[in-house]
Amino acid sequence: MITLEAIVLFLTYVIDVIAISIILITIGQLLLLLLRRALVVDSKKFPASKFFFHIFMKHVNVISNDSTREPKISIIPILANGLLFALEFECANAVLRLILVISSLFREGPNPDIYNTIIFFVGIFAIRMITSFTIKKFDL
Amino acid sequence: MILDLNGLIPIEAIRSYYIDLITFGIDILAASVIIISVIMALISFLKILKNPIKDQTMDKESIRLRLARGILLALDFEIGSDIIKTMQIPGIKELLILGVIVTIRIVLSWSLSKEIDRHNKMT
Repeated sequence: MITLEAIVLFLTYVIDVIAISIILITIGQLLLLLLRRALVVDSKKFPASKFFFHIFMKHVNVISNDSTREPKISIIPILANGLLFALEFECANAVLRLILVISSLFREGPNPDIYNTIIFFVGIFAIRMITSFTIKKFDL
Repeated sequence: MILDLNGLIPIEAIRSYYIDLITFGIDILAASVIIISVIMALISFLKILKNPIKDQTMDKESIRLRLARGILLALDFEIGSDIIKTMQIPGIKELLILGVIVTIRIVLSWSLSKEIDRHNKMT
């Protein structure tokens, strides 16, 4: 039987998958960026390799089509932004889980699952706040 | 003459029923706000993937804060729901847990609103 708890739990799994995908996409973009930088260095030694990589990079939107010379992009803000974005999804997830936990608190009384969820909730928000604070503090 | 209303009408049961109903409604509302915010953030994220990486960083920040606003709204609903739930607390342990959760939520709400204010001042 499909209950409200089951639906919310399913949604939390979906949000988890979204958060993981965002982190993977961010890491992928970073790898492409690093590859591009390596290409710039390598192309000085092997000019022929530049052409194929350039076409590939344009295809995956790492290089914009209209600019020939782009300003250097820092890697840390991209990674931190991706991480914060994924953490925001995890925040939404934690809030959803807490709704379930509090409902069960009134029905069944306190159980170890409640403490686990509270620890998860506090942990997620602590990481989120620290990351956000660090980005703002060091102006990344 | 004192009239014993509790014996005639199950006031406690009626009150408990309505509190359950109202808090359940508020919980559903909060969950819906979160789910809608998540879906909108996901759609926006997929849209900005076409842009160059430098533009994506700025756009991601805007989407993230929009999602944070959604979470903030849901948290406000949840704090309201928790306050109503305190009317039918079964024991001191549950009250303590609820107190901790409400405190965490209030701290989170405060932090999120500060972050949104800071972002608004910057833009």
